[in-house]
Amino acid sequence: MDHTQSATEPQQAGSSTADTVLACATLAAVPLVLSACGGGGGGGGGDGDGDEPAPLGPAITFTGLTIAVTTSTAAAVHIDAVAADAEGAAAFRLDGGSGTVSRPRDPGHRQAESLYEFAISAEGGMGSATGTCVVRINPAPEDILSESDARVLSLRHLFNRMSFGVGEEELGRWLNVPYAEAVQRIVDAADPSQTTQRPPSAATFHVLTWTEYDRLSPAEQQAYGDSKGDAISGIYAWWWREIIRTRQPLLEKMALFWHNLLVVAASDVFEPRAMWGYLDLLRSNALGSYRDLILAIARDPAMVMFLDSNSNVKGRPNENFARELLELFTLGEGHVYGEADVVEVAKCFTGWGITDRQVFVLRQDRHEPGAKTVLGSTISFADDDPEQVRKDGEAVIERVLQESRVAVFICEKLWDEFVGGARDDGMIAGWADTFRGSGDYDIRRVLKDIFTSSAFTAAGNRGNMIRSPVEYAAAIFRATGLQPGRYIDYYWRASQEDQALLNPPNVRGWVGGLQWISAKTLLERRTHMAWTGWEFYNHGSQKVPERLDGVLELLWFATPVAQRAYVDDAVLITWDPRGERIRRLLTDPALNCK
Amino acid sequence: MPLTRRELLRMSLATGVAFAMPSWLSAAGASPSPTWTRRLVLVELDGGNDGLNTIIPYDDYATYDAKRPTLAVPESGLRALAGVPSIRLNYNLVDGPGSERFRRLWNNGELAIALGVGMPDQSRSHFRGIDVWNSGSSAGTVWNTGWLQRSLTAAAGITADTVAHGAILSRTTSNPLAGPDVNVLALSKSDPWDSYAETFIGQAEDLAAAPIAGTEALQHVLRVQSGIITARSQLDDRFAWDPLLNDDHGQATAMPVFTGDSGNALFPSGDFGNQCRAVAQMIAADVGIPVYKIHIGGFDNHAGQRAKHDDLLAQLAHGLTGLRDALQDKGRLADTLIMTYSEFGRRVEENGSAGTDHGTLAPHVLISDASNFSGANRLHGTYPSLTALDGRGDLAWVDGTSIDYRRLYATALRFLGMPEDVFDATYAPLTGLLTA
Repeated sequence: MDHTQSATEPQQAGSSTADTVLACATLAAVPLVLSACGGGGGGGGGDGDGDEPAPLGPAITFTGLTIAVTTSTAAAVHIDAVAADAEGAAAFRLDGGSGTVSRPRDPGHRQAESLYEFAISAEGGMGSATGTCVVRINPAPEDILSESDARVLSLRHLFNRMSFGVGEEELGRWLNVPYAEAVQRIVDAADPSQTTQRPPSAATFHVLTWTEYDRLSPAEQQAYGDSKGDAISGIYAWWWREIIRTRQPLLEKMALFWHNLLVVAASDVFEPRAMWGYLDLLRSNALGSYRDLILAIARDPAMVMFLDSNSNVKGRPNENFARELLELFTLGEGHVYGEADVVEVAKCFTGWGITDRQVFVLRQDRHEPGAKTVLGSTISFADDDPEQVRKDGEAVIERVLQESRVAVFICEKLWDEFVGGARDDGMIAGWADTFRGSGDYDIRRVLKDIFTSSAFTAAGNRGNMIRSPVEYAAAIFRATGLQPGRYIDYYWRASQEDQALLNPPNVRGWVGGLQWISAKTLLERRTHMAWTGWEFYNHGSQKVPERLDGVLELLWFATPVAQRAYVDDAVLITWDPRGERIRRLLTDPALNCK
Repeated sequence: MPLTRRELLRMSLATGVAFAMPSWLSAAGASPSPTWTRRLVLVELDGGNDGLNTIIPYDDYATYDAKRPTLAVPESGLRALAGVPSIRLNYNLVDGPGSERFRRLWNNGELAIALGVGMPDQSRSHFRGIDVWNSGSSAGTVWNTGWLQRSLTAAAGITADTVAHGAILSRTTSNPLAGPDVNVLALSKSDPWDSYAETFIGQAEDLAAAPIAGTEALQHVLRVQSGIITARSQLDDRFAWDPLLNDDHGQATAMPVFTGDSGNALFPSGDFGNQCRAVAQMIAADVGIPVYKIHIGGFDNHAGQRAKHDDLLAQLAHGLTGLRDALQDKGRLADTLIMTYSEFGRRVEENGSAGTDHGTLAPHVLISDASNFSGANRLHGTYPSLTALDGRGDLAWVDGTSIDYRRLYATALRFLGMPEDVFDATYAPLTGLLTA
């Protein structure tokens, strides 16, 4: 792609927003018409003119930008590149003239478009002229690329955020579909029953009762413990494989989102059957109704074990589940409920437990009798009603879901997951209305709102979130179409990067965002990606795409110029230029961003 | 001699970008500010150390012996400490070639013991338990940051640009330095011949300096990367690595060497001993990192505990005594505090498979120069009762008697001269344990 457009015919200044010209001074006797085109911050970077000048400032860099200035005497003037520092001051080279960028009108921008005033002078056959023209230079690539390129960038952003990255083939399937329709179809199509593999061995793991366990010899007990560990590792590997190979990545992404909200840790529960049941539940309900999900999670054996529901009994309430239900699952700390509500909610869930075989059970004989008051409402079923235990707990969830705060709380989390940065409370309130609907909390419906919202699609938002360790590794495989040698390796690598799948650090889950990257985790990421590059390169059964740069380009944004030079310099440094180049590509700092 | 890839990379770097020194480490030769000459070494006993078999409650040995028919350390395995008749050390903490390890430290006035350390309503979950210990929260509260992170970020003179606030060796997933605005180096060993510092340098050696540009997210990545590059340069400087003098394994030529450190004489062979040596080297080389965390795993022994636990205690005492000796050798013992922690203790009564289940309170040790301890009182607290147990048969938390674990942290923070108000309440340092 060549961005240079040396217009030979004068164009109408400011005639189209697709041009980067908004306004241009017409100079006496020298009508200057500027047309400009740039690679901006997005994508390619390397496809501009060969002799890019060094960037002049650290904050905003445009490469590959060419402004062709045409005078009536056809004395064309080229500006090869423009860069501006944080204050917007910059200079650019102008063959046959010179100019400076005065300041962006919007200095507070992140990567959004900016308006620059150029003081420009040109000399041509009819003499010299000076003037000012205002040029919109920005990294919003739709404005400067062809329509199909713009669509690539929109879809690329969609897949990088709502999924785990994208390969050329997957992207290609959607290229001819309008964006909103693509969102609609992707969200609707996700089907939890479709997996790429059979369930792991944990699904049929035989659970021993404590009595049976106690009858085992020490050696047999050890073996039983080992078999649990193996089966749980099997779940890790199963999910990693599904995340990497699935044809419905939104589903796995949302299951991971719910896992981080409705946290259960496998290393704590340490029961393979229950952990598989938990993951299955998250996947099955990932795109359904949050009402169904929250009702189901309260009865999930893994959750029961994790939050001690089994020891929440009449006379000795354990508040663990009650507190997290209000604080982490529905309302959020400091909203709507108080400490007294925690106590009352705990009473409502007394008797919700599991059997010795880890099957959910409601035990009326362990249930606290009497009326309870939750969020100011009385929950009162007859003490002689054998269903009181079930009705009390379910009534709590129904009561909590009547609070408008719940939808706002979840939509705030969805904002953090998919949009990032400072929350727009007004927009979130709109999503929350959609989400809550008539009380059905339809997850699909709100996701369509989110993925088509201006906050999500804004060009300035692209590349401004940090990939989680799972997202980073999965994106590399999804983009290249390659597969890990052993999926479980990626569980351990990601856990070193502080994201052990199914083992978040605590009940609040991963904080994420910028916190994914520390000196420790960044080095771990680089080391592990170097290993992946080594595996790509040396285990010859899989073919590394010849155009690895191009494939990975689907995942990255705004690679620093120096980094691209570093990648290109691989050949100078080592006896193994191709391997080194793969490694450098895979550890490009920009790949940490989505 | 053909140059290795690593040497080529290093030489390419040498001609590259000059790296800024962090302000608090200052220019070469200048001393860091006095506060930051002090170092904390945290020792995580991973899995829940059985305190009852580590420091034995000799006042009630009969009960101890009765509750642990196969696991109790027999009389022949008990080692007394001068002046403290109520307890005995497991012999693995004392016996060893050439020295009496913890008994020698005790007699030197360099070892302090805190009995019955824990918290009310202690979690018996590994996962939750260590999370609480790392965050410094109360048992029922979840905090997302580590206690040292909060203190470091509150400390004057520490900025987000500081090269490295802490180094974590070996296991890195649980972390008292977790949270924003601190740089934590993960030092792991990929090659038995490399030191931890060299492995870090190796991991970071080909990081290219890049201008801080792009989206906010990318700028964050690049800033962290820049911090790593500076830390790499620090480690490089302190260890005076000369690429042309390296052997094939890249052994640094100026790594501090300690008197008596050959084979496993000073440090036990294996991962834990290597970690102890690496920390001693970094402190001796005056790498500007105030906090180190090392790790020894394998304490979760629900079955057949005795031999495994004995071996771990021997490694622990050997490694920490070696660390003490190495620091003493380089005159840095008075600047350093070594402190153990673990997610919980273990149940008083042994289980049916000659092991122990998750419990509550446990003893912990602190090691430093004698000048940092009050000679009068280096045994802090009293052994929890073996008979007045809680509802689950565990050592019971007693308000006013048991030692809240945050008091140990406050003690360490007082030693380092760092802010102590990083908990949900004020926890007094253990007066008499360390002289403030």
